[in-house]
Amino acid sequence: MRRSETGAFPRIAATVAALGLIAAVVFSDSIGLGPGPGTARFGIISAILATGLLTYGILGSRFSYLFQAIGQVLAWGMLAVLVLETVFFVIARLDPARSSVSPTRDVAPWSAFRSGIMPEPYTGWDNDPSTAATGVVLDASGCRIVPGASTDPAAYAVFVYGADAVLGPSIDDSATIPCFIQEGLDSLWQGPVRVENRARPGWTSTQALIDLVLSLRSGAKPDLVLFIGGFEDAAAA
Amino acid sequence: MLGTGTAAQGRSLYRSGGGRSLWKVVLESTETWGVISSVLSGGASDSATEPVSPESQGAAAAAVFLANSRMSENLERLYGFNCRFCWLPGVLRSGKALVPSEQAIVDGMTDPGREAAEFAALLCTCSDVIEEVDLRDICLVSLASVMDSLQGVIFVGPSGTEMTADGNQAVARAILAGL
Repeated sequence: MRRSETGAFPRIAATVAALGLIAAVVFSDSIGLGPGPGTARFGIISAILATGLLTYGILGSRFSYLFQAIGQVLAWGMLAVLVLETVFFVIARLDPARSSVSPTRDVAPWSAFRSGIMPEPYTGWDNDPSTAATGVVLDASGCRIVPGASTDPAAYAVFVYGADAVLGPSIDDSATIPCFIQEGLDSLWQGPVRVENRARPGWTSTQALIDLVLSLRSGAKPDLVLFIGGFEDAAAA
Repeated sequence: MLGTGTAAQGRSLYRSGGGRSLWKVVLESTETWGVISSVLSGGASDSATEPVSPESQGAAAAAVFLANSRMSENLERLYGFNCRFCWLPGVLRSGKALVPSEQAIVDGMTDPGREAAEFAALLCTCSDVIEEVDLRDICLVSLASVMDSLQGVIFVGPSGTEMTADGNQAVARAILAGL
């Protein structure tokens, strides 16, 4: 009898507090609490608190059992999620088709040529003179030299863009495509000709186009621009 | 600079461009979500990671190449230079009689497995699309068959795109002939 008396007061107090909170939310406009920033959050917090207090007020000492039951449900739920995550992690690793990472070409085909390049804004990378392949001579702007190219500023200027096929890292300076274009134009064109080998390892046509735009913006005035490539565009797809 | 942002800015760090909440990002990063969504969608977990056929990737690559050629044509008109976009796919699409070293490059690019074979299919599709374009309309030059009549070693390097001096000379001649 004594126990029930001592337990009645907290239950009644909780019920009154819950009803008070509900009343505060319902009549918040009338007592000047809303609407305004934070009012909705106050209502939600009050509703949660009121629900808890009201539940305690109704259940009394049995409230602790409800609390334990909810805790057990959450704990079992967490355990189930952990088990599912572990199982599906193993399944995903065993079955590449279910992997979130695309299996195709995670490594770029030109990754073998990583020495010889350095990071460059907008275009991604540029020729690196310090690690260029043996026999590859680069000028101050990172372009492979073209023997016979005129230094006359008024010369017929040819920009040749491309990737490894144009750069020709495994052949002599005098045997690259731009070098043969220089030779051909020297015999065809009346006047000095300057062919620039603007190829970079692994560059796609998009990177070449970006470099051309940057060069034009800087005041370059080419007479002929050649883009030679295709393999890298396909590899980048 | 850390700690100077507002709470709203801080919360925005947990939202992606699509306005997804942190909870959704966390949920979608779980293995359980990935497997369940892939089962529900019949094998594809997400449109962004859906396997794409090499043929469609090749067509997409060709579209980018052709778009770039048209963009360079616009620059050509604007800045007053001549422009040529030359398609040079390498040994995989060459009609040349391959010598053993060139055949070894092709084998090395197509034999290791599905990934390499898929790339070969992608490159072939890309090449087909580009060579079907009416070259009179744009500044495009196909050099895919320039090396077909050459003898001996032409293609070198692990990807078969580099060429010996003879190949480079043939390419230069073909380009100059079209100017």
